[in-house]
Amino acid sequence: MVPYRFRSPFMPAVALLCLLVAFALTIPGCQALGLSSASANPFGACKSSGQCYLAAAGTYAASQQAALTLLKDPSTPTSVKDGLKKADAAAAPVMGSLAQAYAVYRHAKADLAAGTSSPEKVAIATADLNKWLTDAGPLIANLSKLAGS
Amino acid sequence: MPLQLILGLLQAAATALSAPGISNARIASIAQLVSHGTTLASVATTASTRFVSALQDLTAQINTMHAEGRDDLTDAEQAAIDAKVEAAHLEIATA
Repeated sequence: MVPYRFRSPFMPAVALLCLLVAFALTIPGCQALGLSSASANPFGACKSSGQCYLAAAGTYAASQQAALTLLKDPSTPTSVKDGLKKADAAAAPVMGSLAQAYAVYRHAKADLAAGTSSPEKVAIATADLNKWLTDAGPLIANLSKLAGS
Repeated sequence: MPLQLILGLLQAAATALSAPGISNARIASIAQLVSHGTTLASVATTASTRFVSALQDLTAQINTMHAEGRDDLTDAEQAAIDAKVEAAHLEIATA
């Protein structure tokens, strides 16, 4: 068990993600906001940064698969296909940065637990991860909306 | 968006049907429009159903992590999800 748990700094970003994706999908909202609960609500289920990263990356991956289903179908209009491609192209670099930020955060926590880092370094990594989660929210929601609804 | 397009197609079909003196050619055209709309609806429904199913699996995975007291992914778990995202991005870009 790592001695520091940085849950609270993530809550604004997670709440934003939660709202954006819930609106985009028109699925029941988020437990964290007391709106409702659902079996298909990863953002409502996540309780830590790692779980919320999985919610974000997993939702994005599911959106990509839905987008591919539409892209591979010849009856999908070109305008829809173009919109899906643009949405994914816009999100991809941010998702890459988010993945990198989460890796840095994980390693900073591990280093802290091993006594080779400081809480300040973990706090910096936390803030960076929080930023990328916030930035990724609208992009994930956009692709989800286009591909999943 | 597919659903908006489908609604547009159906609305166009309804407008055409309400016009006086519909020709056979026009009826065939309307039938084609409705058929296209139905196909689109089917594809959109398939994508949407799989999407919701994937979210349910993801939610269950997160709940399991929480139940196990695991806050973070392992290196391998993160590598797997990141590779999946990257591969899909490349596939979308070239689709």
